Amino acid sequence: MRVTDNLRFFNVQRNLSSLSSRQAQVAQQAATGMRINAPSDDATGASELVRIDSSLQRMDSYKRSIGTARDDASLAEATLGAASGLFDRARELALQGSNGTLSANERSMLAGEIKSLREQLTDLANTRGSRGYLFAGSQTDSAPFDVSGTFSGDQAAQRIEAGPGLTVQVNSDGATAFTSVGGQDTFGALSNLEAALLANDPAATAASLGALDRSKQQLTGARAGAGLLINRLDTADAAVDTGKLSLTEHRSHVGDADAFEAYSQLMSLSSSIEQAIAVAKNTLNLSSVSRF
Amino acid sequence: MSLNSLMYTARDAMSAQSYGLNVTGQNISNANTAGYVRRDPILVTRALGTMDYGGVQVEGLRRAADQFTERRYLEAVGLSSAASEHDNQLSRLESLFNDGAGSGLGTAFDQLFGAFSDLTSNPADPAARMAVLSRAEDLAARFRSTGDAIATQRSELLSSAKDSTDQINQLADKLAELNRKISVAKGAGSDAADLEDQQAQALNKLSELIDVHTFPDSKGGLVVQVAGTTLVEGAEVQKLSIDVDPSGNIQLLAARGNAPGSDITRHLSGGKLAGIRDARDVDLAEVQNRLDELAFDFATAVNTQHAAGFGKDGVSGRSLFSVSATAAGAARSLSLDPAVQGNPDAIAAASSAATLPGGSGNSLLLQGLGTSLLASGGTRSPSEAYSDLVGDVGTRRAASQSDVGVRAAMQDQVYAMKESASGVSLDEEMVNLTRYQRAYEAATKVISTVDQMLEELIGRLGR
Repeated sequence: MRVTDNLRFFNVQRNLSSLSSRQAQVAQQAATGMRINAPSDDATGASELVRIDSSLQRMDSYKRSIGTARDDASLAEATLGAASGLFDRARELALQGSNGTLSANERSMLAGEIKSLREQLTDLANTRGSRGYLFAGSQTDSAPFDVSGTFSGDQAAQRIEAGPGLTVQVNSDGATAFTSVGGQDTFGALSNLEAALLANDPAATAASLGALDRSKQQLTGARAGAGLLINRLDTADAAVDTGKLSLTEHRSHVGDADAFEAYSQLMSLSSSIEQAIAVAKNTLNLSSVSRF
Repeated sequence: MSLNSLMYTARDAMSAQSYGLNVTGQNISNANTAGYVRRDPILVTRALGTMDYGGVQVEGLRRAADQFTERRYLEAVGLSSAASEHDNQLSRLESLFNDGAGSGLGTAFDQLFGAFSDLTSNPADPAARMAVLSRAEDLAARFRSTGDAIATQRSELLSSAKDSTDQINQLADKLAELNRKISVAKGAGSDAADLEDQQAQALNKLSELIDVHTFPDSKGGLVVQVAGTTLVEGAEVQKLSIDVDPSGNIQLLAARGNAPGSDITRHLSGGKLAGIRDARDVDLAEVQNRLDELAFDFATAVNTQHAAGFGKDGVSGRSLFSVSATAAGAARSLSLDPAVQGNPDAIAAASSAATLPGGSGNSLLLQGLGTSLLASGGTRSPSEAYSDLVGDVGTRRAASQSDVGVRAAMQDQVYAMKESASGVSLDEEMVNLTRYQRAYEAATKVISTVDQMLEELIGRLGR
């Protein structure tokens, strides 16, 4: 083949430019640490990255939801624990009050303490969590229990998505925990006791013990439910973490450049370019013009 | 044969060799001129009468061009320029779908569903409601800007196609003019090599714009065909123009004089115009459709679910997004519904009026749309459908990149063949320079020898 000067320059140019464009690509991979810098670098991989990123974002959403729900569940557990504790004291007072030797005045003092216990129970039942009143069902914006212990909330279940396809009810049902819906009206138990004490009636006072025990049992049961929910949420959280970890690993597998390989490719390309320049110098010097 | 005639022979030789030197000089001067084809002087022996007189004569110039290679080169340039235009446009498209930067539609989807999830956790929280509104607006804005960017690119490509067509028409006029000049020059027996260089250059430019085929006509002129139709024949040209067909695709029309143009779009196979047509009416149009469908499916599904729920104000049946009635143009039309715009209480988190304000049943269902198969004919979730779109764009760009590589390599190869046949080699020209110079010196030597002989003869006779 007849080689002309233009052809020589052209070949040198083409070799160098194709080497430098390859070098720029590898340098970008090495610098960013990413194998896919544009969808065309690996279309399947790029589309998988979008799906993985979306799943990762969803995992973060799950974690946020679980976090909020867990805070509320802990609060509910502590609140129900405190509420059931009130009935230990109420039981002691009821035992004292059922003692026939007590005077009417002493019973009325006990009644005063029971009244305060009932107020504490109302306060506890009206505890506010992150989304409003904890035990109000969906009526989170107004206190579910009034001074007489009448329930104005509802039993609507609040659910969150705590994992792929996993919905969990996260609110404790105030009606079941505190009112006759659960079998025993806890406020009623206290107000009956208070009434019996005020009436200076030891027999009626003794008779209220059963209701107090049932109230305590009911609240303890609700507390255990909140504890179970915390367990469930913790399990879900751990599952989300595991999912996140495996997604992150998968993402790195799909999207990250092999740093060592990128670097060694970069080195080998640099030396190729140097060689090409040396060859170019040699080729371009091959001219007879100066020798005639 | 006389000594005098030997003088004439030597004189012819001197003039022929200096012509050769001239041509060599011309070749050297034009070594880097684009489109210059190396010239060879044609020297023939001069026969005078019946006697072989042995002189030399310049018959003219030869352009060292190979018609076959030239034609292949035009084709290669056309295909390569189509591929590179196509790839440039796809690279623009690809940048819209490059989520590496974390600013794409995919992220916006995830953020909206994340906001729904936060709303499920706390439906009465004004901040969570605001977040849903602003994420929804953000997603709609991304759909709009992506849709707008594709539409803008398509309309830019239309004007670019018109510009290219104008250039093609100018080149056609120039080629017709050159056809005329070349036929005049050849008729007068003079050298048309410079005109032919100009013709070759015009053809090269033309082949960057559109696919070009040439063949000589019966009168020695050049017939130029583009996209399967005759653009130039002799001094006659057809005018090309660009129009848009009812479905919005580019139409290339060819017309003679004032006659109505005939549609030659489907024969378009090379040059920038073909690249523009392929990028605009195949890739961009298809990607735009897929984006519109995704926007439409998504907005419709979200609206249906949203309308089923109740806002904090107890109102039901409101859409979250306002979207076009059909999928066509859905991405560009997507925005927040006026009923919810700036009204966070309108976000329908509750599934019944009775569960207000703390109910989040509907928000949970809205959140669930993130993983429900509502797109691509009910086979993909929104972010899966978007990831498919990213993969599709990536595949298109990767194909166009590899096409550019193949076409460029082919063009390089034909260029090398063409350059090898027609290019100037300075080495050769240096040798030629010496060759003609030596021959010229030798011719002068012949003259001085004849002169000496004549002097000798005259001296002896005159004594």
